[in-house]
Amino acid sequence: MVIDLESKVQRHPDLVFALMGEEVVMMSEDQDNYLGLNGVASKIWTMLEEPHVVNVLCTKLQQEFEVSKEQCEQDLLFFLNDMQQKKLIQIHPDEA
Amino acid sequence: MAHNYEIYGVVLASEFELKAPLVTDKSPDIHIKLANVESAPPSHLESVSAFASISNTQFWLDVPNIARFFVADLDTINVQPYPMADMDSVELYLLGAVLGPLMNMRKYLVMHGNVVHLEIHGQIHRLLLCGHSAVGKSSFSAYLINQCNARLVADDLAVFNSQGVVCSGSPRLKIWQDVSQALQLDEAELTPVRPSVNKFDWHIGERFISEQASVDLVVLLTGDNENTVEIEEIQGIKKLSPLQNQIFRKEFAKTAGLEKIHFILIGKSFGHTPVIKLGRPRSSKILENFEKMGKALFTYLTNELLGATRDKS
Repeated sequence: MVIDLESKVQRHPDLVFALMGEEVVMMSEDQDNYLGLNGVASKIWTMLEEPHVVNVLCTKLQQEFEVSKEQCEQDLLFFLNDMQQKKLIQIHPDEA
Repeated sequence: MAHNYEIYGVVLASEFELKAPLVTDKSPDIHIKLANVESAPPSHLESVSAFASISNTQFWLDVPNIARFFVADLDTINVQPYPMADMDSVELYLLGAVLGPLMNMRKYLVMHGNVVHLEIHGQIHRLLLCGHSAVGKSSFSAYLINQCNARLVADDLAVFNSQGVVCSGSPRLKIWQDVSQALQLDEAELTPVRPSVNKFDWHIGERFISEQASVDLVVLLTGDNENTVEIEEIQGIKKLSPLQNQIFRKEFAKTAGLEKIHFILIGKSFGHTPVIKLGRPRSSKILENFEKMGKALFTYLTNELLGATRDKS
């Protein structure tokens, strides 16, 4: 299911992660690989401690970073769909 | 009658006397018994070497001529010494090669390294010194204790609990004879670790500190720089692999299903802790090497960590 601006997204509940300084490091499902998120990606991950509607997430990011609404929406949707494909986040079960 | 000892945040009740750990009257978590241990591991355990087999709750180890050990249900260690074994050697393996994997199985994170407690300009720093075998973890700890008024928290095994804080070991430090001579240690404070080995237990008494606290800095000692000492800071995800490499008997972790808990505990214990590489000079002048390393370390601690504290305030 594709994530759009109205989707409510959350962290994948089975995912194991650790903070390494400013970076978020995630352990893959097979426990053999690790993925690091830094910068804005790390910030988005921190925000997803609570489930968020993508629109709301975008508004919050615009308050923190100098980015146009269109650019933010475009980049955020690309990033979130990529994260969903990697099983790092999912659409909130109420909406799936 | 059992003797109770406190080490690594747990209490051991042993049927035979142990020399290294501190005596306590607290109630035991782990029972050490003199009992028969089968000469072959139970078939349901997975072999990790010719002499060791493991599951997530049991561990069998054979140390030829010393003892066979069997850890059952995470709270009992059966020990069967070989007929001619000396009990100092049995204790050495019991508190290291057996207790280390057991603490990992009990969901602690056991790192192969030393922890020292160091005061600089009134500020306490707790350092985890890691690195490959024979790189000089205990030797450099001995230098810091002997020459820089540091105190020992743990030698050889650094055990971190579920909160990510290190639990102290015992008031002894294992050092080679050349290091004890270079540091001019008092011979009255030294006893052989075990017969026919040129290594000593340094009984450090009041220079040991029993505490549970976070580590402020991880120092990865690396061998064989030319004659210089270099410090290199590692950040973010790049810290993970070097730290994982310091897990005690990490080859057991996968078999015992501990990789996930170790990953979480590395995050809790060291997520916000600076990690540096400190190169050891190649020169054979032991004391001179340590002085160079100590100077570089003190400069780093003074400049970087105190600077960071100022930034926060």
